Amino acid sequence: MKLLRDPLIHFLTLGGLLFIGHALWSTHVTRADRELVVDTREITRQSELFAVENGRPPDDAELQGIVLAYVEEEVLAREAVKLGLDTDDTIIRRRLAQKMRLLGDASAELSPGDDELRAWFEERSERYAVDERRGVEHVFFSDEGRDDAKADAAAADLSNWKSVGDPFIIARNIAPQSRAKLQQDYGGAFARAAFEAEPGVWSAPVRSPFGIHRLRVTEVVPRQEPSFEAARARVLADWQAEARDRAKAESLRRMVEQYDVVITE
Amino acid sequence: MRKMMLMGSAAVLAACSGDVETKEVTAAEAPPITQAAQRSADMPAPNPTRNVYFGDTHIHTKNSFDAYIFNVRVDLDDVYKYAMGEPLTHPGGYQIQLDGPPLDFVASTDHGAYLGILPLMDDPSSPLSKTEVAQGIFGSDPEVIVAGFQRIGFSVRTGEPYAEIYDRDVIDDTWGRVISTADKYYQPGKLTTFAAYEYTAVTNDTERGDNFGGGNLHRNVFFKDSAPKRLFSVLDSNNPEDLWEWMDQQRSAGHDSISVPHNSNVSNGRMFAMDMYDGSAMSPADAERRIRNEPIVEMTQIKGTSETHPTLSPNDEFADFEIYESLLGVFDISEVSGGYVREALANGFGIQAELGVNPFKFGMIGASDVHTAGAGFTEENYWGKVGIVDATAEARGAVPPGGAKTWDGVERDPNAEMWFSRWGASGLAAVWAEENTRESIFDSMRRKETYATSGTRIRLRVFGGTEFSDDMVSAADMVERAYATGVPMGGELSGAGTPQLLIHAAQDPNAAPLQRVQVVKVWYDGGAQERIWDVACSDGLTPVDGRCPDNGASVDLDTCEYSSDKGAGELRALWTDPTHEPGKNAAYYVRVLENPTCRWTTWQANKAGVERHPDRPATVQDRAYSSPIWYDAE
Repeated sequence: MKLLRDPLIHFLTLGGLLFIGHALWSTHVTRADRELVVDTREITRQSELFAVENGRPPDDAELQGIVLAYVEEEVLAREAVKLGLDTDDTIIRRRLAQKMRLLGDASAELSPGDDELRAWFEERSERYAVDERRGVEHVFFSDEGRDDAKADAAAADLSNWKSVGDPFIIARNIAPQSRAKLQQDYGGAFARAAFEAEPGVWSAPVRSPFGIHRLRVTEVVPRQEPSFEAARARVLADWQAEARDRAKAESLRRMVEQYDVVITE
Repeated sequence: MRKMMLMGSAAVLAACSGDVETKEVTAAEAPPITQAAQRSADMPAPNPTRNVYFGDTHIHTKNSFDAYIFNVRVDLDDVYKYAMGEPLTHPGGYQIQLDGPPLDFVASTDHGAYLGILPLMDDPSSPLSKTEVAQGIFGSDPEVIVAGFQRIGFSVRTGEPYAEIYDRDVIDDTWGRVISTADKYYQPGKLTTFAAYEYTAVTNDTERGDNFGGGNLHRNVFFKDSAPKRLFSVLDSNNPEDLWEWMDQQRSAGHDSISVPHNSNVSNGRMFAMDMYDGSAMSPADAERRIRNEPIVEMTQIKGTSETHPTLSPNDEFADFEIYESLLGVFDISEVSGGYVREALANGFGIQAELGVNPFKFGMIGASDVHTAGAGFTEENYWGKVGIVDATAEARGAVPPGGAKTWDGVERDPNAEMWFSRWGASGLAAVWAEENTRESIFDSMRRKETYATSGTRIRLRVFGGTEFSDDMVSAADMVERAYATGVPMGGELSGAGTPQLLIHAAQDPNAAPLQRVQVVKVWYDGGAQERIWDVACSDGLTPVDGRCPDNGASVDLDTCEYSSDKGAGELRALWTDPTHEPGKNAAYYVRVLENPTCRWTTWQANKAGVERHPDRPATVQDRAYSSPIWYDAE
């Protein structure tokens, strides 16, 4: 506002003159719908926009241009409405809806009280937990080139396991992974065996989509459940995202509620 | 009064959209923007024998002109959320979700030209919406939409900006957001992200009207761990050689990057032309600059396969796979020669013979090029590419138009017929890297230890050597020994000895078993030469005259069930080139084929209970393509 002070005075003078001119010019039409009041707040908004775009406030000529463009747009818009061009136009309908959604977005950032946030976290602490992970090493027996990979696996002496079995496309030593991740990469049976096995003991033969494995759990990283304090920053961001979505959905729901929605064929 | 008003309007227009500043931000003064993320305590140690990671390196959001206009409203965050497995809403109104495990790495690659401009052109509160170009291009009528796309596309193709909408501040701000969003989602060990964008060059040598129409010379530019504040788009220059020049400058200023070309199949023969952009002769320095900046090529994606074409490879019975031939934005058919990687790999030796440098010594990746922030990589779960215009099975040409049950006598929609129904549910990039970090994955792309898949997660290891012993193929420590005595895919052999390939392939646990492993050899003899050997067959079969016998795998086209007792979980081979000539340069790459499964068009026709498209293949054999290993006699 400060930087607009001078031009604004110019504007008010100019605007006044314009308004008088307009009034004189159209004395014969005095109907209320022919009255075009230029709201200074709108012009201030446009001027601020100009300042953001250009890094400086508009000069007199530019300010005059803003006023005139506004008047022109308003007149054209009213004429268009009179002709009924605003109804039944997809673009206008979509833009109006878009504008309303943006209004919803702009609602103030909410911040919860500490207790409220803590309670919210406790209801959802599952979301912040990291599941148990297990490290596994395994020996692979391919179906290709073996008559019975399962029998070979069962009979194998694993005391020198690194040199036993066939090469495996992924690692023979798998860093700690969640059960879900193991299932994605090696299939459900492999993951089940890894999470049911006693650490340090070679399993019975297990089938994966690749072939037969014998596996041994090398490391168990227990499930981690972070405290509220440790997870606080993430919890707050999630709470705010949820609050925003909820506020938007709620305001839309309230608006929709005011209508009787009838679906016709 | 009237005159004054008109002048006033003109002044506002000029004030809002004129004065397009061309800021010269030199790389030297621009600080690195991307940040090195913290190594988390529970991140696994790097694996010296490397892990395979799967990613999609070609994804668009609403910030791309040709996505926004097709009603795409997803933003940069959505790319990463989708990669982690969260659902998104497609412009068609339905939910889309990754079919398979989360991706290990991902990059949003919106078009640098007019990056982030279209959303503002459609925002009534932005001055860009008042511009002449913005009028009437956002509609719900498909014809209006396509006309708007062609109009902006015309400027992109010619590299001539529409001054009134070419707002560098908006582009720079959006690019800043691309970088910061990539940083925000980067989780070393879990999800690697890159600051990236698409450089959208189009051949500008033919007159097809004021539209996008032309040969595709697009590339995606990926920054390793720091990015400049300003990107280089076709509106700076539409000659890709100028892009490489700019990348060289950025690299010396500390912003390392690579450029990855795609859709050479529809480049009108220009992507791998043996001359320069303007038709002049290539110099050794030109060839070096190209391969320095373009070490890998995206050779499969939704808009078709760029491996080879049946007319280039008449003896390759698997060459006719997801072939797509329409130039950008039009139905004209692309020139074949110069558009496919197999031929280019061979022609590279021809250039090397003259210049001493091989500009086409590139590796392979795949990606999707989806414009809806997330792709359907599987045949069962595919929703096209662009947004609203290919949002339904009918729009894509999988289902006959107008509610018809069969294709008899129906009038086919030309866009579905020529474009959408010919697109494939593809592809993915696979990299072998020590760990899932920017540095490790970028380095693997630079050394070409990468491969492409048509969408499934086939695992594929290839090593080249001259001293591999027969026992290695079944040795438990095969990989350790192969790294110790050979080179991985993307590497190079030289000198005496006969080239050997040690190959290990395994199926995607969530897709069909493997059918065969093939070696493709290319060389140059006054023209591109090629030969293919099947080197490992499933079901205990052995190759006869270089081909695996039919393994009997079949698909029920009504249910899409495939035979469960055919195919292999994994295949291995040690192959020695039987046609090696000492002193003769050659390159070898590996292609792995799955058993046949239903193509996406078949899945979608079955779901709708209608006749399949009679002119599209009912099945596909999804596949992986390794980066080559070169034998360089000198």
